[in-house]
Amino acid sequence: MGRWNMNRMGKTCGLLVLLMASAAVADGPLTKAPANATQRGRTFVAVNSSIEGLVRGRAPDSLDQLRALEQQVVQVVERARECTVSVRIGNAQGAGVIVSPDGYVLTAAHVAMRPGLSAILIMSDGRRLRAKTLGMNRNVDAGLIKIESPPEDLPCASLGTSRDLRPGMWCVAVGHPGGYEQGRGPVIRAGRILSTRDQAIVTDCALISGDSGGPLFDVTGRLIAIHSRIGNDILDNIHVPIDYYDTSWDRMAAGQTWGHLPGFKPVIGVTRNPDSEVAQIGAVKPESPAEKAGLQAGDVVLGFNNVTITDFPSLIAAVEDTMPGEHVMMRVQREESVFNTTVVIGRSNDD
Amino acid sequence: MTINSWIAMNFRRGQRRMLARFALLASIAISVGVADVQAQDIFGDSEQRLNDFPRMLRESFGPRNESRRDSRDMLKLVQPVAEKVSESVITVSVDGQSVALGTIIREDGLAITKGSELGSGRIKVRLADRRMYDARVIAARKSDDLAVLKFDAKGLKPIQFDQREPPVGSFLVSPGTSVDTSGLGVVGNEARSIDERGVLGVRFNPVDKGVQVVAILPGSNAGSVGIQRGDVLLKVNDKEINSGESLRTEIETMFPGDRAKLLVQRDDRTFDVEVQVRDETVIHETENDARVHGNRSGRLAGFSKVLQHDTVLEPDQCGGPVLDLSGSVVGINIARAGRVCSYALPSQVILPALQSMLPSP
Repeated sequence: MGRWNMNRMGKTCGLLVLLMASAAVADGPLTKAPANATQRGRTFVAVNSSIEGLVRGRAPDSLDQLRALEQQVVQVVERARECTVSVRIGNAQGAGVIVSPDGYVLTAAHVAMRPGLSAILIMSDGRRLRAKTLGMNRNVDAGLIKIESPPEDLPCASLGTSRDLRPGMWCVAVGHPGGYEQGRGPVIRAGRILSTRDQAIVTDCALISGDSGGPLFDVTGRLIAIHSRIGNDILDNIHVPIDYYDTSWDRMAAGQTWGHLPGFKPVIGVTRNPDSEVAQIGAVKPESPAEKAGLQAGDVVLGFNNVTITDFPSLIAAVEDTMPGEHVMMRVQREESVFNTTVVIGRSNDD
Repeated sequence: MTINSWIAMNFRRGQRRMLARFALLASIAISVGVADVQAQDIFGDSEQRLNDFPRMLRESFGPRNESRRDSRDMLKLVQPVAEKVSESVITVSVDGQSVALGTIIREDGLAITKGSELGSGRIKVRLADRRMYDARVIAARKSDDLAVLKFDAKGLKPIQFDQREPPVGSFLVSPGTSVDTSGLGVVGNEARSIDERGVLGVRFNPVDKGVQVVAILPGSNAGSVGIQRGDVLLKVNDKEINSGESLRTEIETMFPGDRAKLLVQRDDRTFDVEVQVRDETVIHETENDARVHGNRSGRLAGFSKVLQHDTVLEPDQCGGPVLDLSGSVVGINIARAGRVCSYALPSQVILPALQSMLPSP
């Protein structure tokens, strides 16, 4: 699988894909704020009244005000880094943020990949924790991870809401650009919200591969979004609004997965043989990932990504659990012989 | 110096930024419909307008630029901080092309800059008051990519370094020259060393004499300077290549951004080429990764200690000072290392380096 996660961060981000986004919204925006979240978390820092306007999106009108903003940012980032973790699943790396003392960690769906995977989380103080991936709302790229035996002093982010975000608001991004680096710790970027859309917010906090899943805070230290993808331009940094985690929580915590990012539906390019009870391929699309992997009409898929395939619906479900760009091992029967082949998952623009 | 000559000098930079912005516009115009906003501003006739020409291109396309961190208003706000040192910032050009900024360190015509950008051409410096001088390198420190330039001027205003390290999250101002935009960013993490491993980015097999190129990696500079598969490399930096190990050993003494001189044999002829040594991580990047990083410095690794910040810099904006909001000079920008990352050499590295590089005045 290699540096798949890093590739993906670049690939996900064609501007065209983002501008054309018009998929049906699976979850409405949040109406309830998580109870007591602000008090519970560690990152909230009340603002001095002199910069209240800046929290709502104004630009500072004096150097003194900018210095007051800086003081606020410096206090927030120290706490924000403690709650940020590096997430390692296999060879792929991303980031995440701890939100509860019992060990729930928010990340991007494409970092968590699929439910039930083992993850190693590295805290800013170097502690390593074992975790398991839970469910994910792939329509917006939201994913959930649970630490297996959470230590008692787990630092948690204070939760905010993405309901009232607007352009100009100051924010702080934390993550592990390029992946975890020994002796470096989580890296801070600061910027402002440039635009808000229904399913994503855009900031000028510059992100790069490895940052996916990391937290975006407002300047009061409340968690408002999770890093997801970028465009070529340095102003195209796209984050998942935090409220989607709230509305998707029960399903994600139960390990369910659903949807895909618009334009990023995973495909391998085969159709079923309608007369077959098993997962027999009726046709292979020319130039498709399946063709490149050597599959032919009549082949029967027995296994996909360590999942046993019994019929075509179970193959569809297994493909939906992957991400474009991922290398997946398939077990295939052709007449009397059984062989393994690796398919590189493709993507479809169809919603 | 006239406006026209200034424009000429900055044309390359302006053009580069124009291209970048237009590429974005092509995508944005569809959804936002702002394509024509610019025209009347750009072709205004006052001198001030002309001076702001590249800056306007960079900043005024699209409403979202008004709310960005380094919007025009924000840069205006921090201008007083930048102005504290504006007389100490110079532009360094080689053979007429702007390659870096420089920072004046002594009143009698001494400045430091990013050494690896200087190459072997004719060096000129331009002061804030637009006087231009020929300059020469009188000292260099490869390990931190610093070079000291000497030029025949007197009565200059040297910079005052401050050795305190700004806390993570502090705002940093990177002044340009008097006519160019300053940059604004924040400290990303505690100062640390950046290791490097320079490579050519070619795979080779040993042959009777030298090594034969069997593949050129996508991030390598070897292909674009004319090396092909099948070529035999005979010498590196005038030293015989008698094994893959001898080539690697020589390259490892060099830093990313350095140029390795190779003697190449193809069929019956031999010729010299210069290949830029690149950092191993850059060589192995995918095309996607390379694209989102944008323009980067050739030498972007191999520093004893740097302060990482997220100010958006062009590679030729390195070499100038970096200030905190109180106006203290915390270091000089030494590399644009990627999309999220610029490096500054902290003052605590520069001061001892200068002491060892310079004879006492």
